Amino acid sequence: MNTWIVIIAVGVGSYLLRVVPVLTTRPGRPEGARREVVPHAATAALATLVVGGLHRATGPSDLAASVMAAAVGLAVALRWRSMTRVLVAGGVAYAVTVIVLAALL
Amino acid sequence: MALTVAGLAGDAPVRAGVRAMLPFVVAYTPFALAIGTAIAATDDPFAGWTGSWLIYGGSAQLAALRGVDSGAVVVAIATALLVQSRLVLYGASVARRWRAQPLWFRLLAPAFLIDPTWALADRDDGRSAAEQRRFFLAAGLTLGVGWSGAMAIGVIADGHLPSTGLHLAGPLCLIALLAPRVRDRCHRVAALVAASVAIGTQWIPAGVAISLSIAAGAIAPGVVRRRSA
Repeated sequence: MNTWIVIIAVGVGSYLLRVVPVLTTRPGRPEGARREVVPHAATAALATLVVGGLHRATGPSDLAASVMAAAVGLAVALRWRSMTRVLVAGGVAYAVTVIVLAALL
Repeated sequence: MALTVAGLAGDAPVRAGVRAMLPFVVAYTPFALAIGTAIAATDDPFAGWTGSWLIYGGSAQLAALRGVDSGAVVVAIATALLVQSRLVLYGASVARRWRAQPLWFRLLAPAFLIDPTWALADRDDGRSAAEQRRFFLAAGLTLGVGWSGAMAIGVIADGHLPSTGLHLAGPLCLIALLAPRVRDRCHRVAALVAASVAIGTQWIPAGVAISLSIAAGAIAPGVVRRRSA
């Protein structure tokens, strides 16, 4: 029963968090802090989630390989803007780093 | 556009939405499988699985399930909603783009607003309002079907799937979305500050850490600009 309560409550709350700004944002150019903060908050959210995802690494070697993969992925993304290339390049960088670290350690 | 499978499949914005979201479905599959495994350990796996659609956010769903495990229902709800607090910014970010959309879309589409779908919705792609609707809903449904399907597999497999180390796929997809933004100096500052705060706050509860990182990154460009003026 607790699972249903939590899932439904979080579901309703999540929907409200999403829909209220969509319905209540007034037309016209946002002013002052809102104009500055909202676009940058979205970028900050993406960066935060990237870091959070990398921290799911299991151990120092995995973390090092994950960071290397992210760095290579970012370089590829800046150059080509292709998600497929980012995934492939990042995956290859991760695998190579894991192999090199395993050989060295 | 005919509302049949063939009609939808032949519609360019629908196809584009599906295509745009497929890499994310692949990228988020390991995460969905992991959540499915966590769901399998709860007292009501079906209830846990419905979160894939009702919550539509992996980190929040995981936070909620962990709270249920420990019996702290109120804490579970509060933590999960704190993790989801960034959705307010996503909604505010797309609100202007969707201002011309009909009410039914502005009530329905937010249910599919999460990191990858927001990133697609928040860019100027030159589509008409009707095309934007079909594109976004196709993307949202594609992600939802893939996400909930993978989670169901995780529930059924119940921890018997091998650990593939594919935790990187999600961050790499997000990096692909982040990269065009950080070409701009202000967004670069926002990203660097947010990432730095996220690294430095790993020791505090996830929901609070995420909110702090986003807030710091959001206000940093304004602070930097005022100091350099």
